[in-house]
Amino acid sequence: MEYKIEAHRIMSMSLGKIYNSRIQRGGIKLHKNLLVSLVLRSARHIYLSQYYSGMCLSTQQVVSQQEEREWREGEYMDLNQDKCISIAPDHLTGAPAEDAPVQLKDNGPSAVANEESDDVDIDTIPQTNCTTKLESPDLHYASEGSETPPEASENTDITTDYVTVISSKCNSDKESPIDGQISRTFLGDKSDILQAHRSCANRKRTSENLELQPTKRTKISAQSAYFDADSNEVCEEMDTGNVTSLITIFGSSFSGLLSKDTAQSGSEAADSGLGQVCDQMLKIPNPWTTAIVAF
Amino acid sequence: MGEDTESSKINHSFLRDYVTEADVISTVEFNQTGHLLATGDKGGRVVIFQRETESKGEAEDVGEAGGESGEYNVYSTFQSHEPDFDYLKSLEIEEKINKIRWLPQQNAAHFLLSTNDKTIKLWKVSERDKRPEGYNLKDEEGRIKDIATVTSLQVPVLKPTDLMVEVRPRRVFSNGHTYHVNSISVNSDGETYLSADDLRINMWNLGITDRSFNIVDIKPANMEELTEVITSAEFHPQHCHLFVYSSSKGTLRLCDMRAGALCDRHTKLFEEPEDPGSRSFFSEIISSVSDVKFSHSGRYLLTRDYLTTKVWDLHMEKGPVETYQVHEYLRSKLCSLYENDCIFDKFECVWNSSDSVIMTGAYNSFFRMFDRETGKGVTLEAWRETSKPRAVLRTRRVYSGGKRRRGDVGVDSLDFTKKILHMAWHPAENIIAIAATNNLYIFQDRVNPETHGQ
Repeated sequence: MEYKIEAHRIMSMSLGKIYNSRIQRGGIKLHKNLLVSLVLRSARHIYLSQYYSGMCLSTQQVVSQQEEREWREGEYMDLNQDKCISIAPDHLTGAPAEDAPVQLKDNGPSAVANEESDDVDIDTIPQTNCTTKLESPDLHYASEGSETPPEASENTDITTDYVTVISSKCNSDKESPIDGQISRTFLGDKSDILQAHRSCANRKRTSENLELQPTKRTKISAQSAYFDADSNEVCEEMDTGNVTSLITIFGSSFSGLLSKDTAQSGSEAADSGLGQVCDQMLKIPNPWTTAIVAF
Repeated sequence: MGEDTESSKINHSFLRDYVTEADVISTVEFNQTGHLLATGDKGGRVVIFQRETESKGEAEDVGEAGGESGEYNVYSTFQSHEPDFDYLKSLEIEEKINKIRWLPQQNAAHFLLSTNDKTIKLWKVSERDKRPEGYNLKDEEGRIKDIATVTSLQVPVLKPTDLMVEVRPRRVFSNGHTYHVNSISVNSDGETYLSADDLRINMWNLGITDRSFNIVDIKPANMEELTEVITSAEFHPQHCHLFVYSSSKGTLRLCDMRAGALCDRHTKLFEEPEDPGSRSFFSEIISSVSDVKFSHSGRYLLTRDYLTTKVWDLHMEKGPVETYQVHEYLRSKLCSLYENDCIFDKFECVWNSSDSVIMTGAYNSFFRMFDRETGKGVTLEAWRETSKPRAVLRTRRVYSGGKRRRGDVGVDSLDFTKKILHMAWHPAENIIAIAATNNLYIFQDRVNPETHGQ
């Protein structure tokens, strides 16, 4: 447990450092930012692996209900624009699902938002968390990862990075005011959204985090965790424009590190979809395995 | 450092403990004879100190050879680099002097290279202590004489005058680097030098400023795959075709320029396998090598990472031959050091003239010396309160458990703002120059002024 708190704290610090490095005199120092991003990656990995181990142990029902709530507030959405994972409040009460089952590839509360039936959703959510691999007939994310539940490390690998919160047009169909907010917030084409998702999502989550129970807060994606109540200012300052320019300044190098941490590698994800993102993450097994060995 | 009027115009963005940021010394270097000592600071200024020569009478009384008293006095000061601006990227370029390297002396003048993040400059330091007098066409003040008043001709003669030290820029090597230059090193051939930034190393000819050869390029095609950067580079002291560069991953690469024009493929890779038991969040940061130095013999390499300093044998790639713990008591405090950015501090390390002692800096104005023969280390302090002229430095100790002695400093009471990052050791004698923030300390070993052995 201490590792999780420590990892969370380190992640917040690292992001603060990366952000501050943009405004300091003399330009961005490549060496320092490389080191900070490595620390960020390790901390994030530990945080998520702790998170997942915690997830599997908790009661499914309790988890599922809480997750539903988190989902609603955390606006997780599928990369695939046609599917909306964000679950409206009605969803809990049995509103019909809009789309086919969606797969969430995400470190967040749930892997699957199966919108076919609420009951099914609720039941499957905790399970998929543990197994990670979003088993959805329609979507094939990270097919590599779809293996076995015991492969916790792989799961972490695959789900860690990406949450691409995409504002999808289906949001507008939702009745939930929060979803409505989401759709209003995320505008623009997919690539912008992909780049901006993190900051926007975090901004929203920041305010919503406070409403959640403290324990639940840790279950929200790492991205949102970065910007908890303590680092609100950082979150608010990082609007879309800043994130985009941050990526540009780094020459889309650290954008890989940053966006991978958050959710996708910018244009690549935009172009090719989640599947490719997963592939990219899987191509870099070493940092993950090393961190796993360490802890 | 003496330039009061200049410092008031430079960088008053913040003051800490009455130290102007611009006065913080950022590099220290002796020349090849040790007669001159150059320091560079964050304000872009270079101050050169010269060792005073005693008169012959005093030297005989004291019994020292060479007639040098060991006192260094200011010889010259000049503004090497100014703050610059990259308009294309909208980035400010700091004027901080990252490194100074002296060229071997070939005539009466001295040459040194100084670099900031982007531009390297070659400076000529020359003395003038005579001036011609007795011109026919000009009068004493330099005004042109009316020819009608010239009734006789005279031959101008050189008359002694007050010593003037002139420093002039002779070359400016610009636009060679996209990333921040972290090191320069003059080749033993006396004609070329290398400059290293985070991802590339260029070789320049001292006489040609508009071209350089790129000899190492570790920039990946896709910057997202970047995993390591170059942190330091140096030419071999004797072999003009060999150089070494260190990386942020803790590896050293020895490259031979005879192998090819581009030395991306190393000749030797020096890497110590990581100890899995000591892994933490910050393992990568503390393994990053901040400085690498060839020994004077050219046989060994000295490296510094955050907690240790290591000696490597060029003939053995699989690990260092000696490892010295500089401040192991900080290992449990890495998270706090990460928070206050101290974990990113880049300490330098130096050899003594006979390669028997190595020295590096630490926090709280402490610096450490390790005797390679005995393996023992001492901690010394560079602090005004305790260092009166001619006082003997006493050793200090950091208490981190076990028996505490009087005078020990606790780990938690270390002052992390007082860090000794830059230092230099005289090439022939036991004289060291330590830069502590904005102060320069010069210590001399009176007991063994000359280095014996090897």
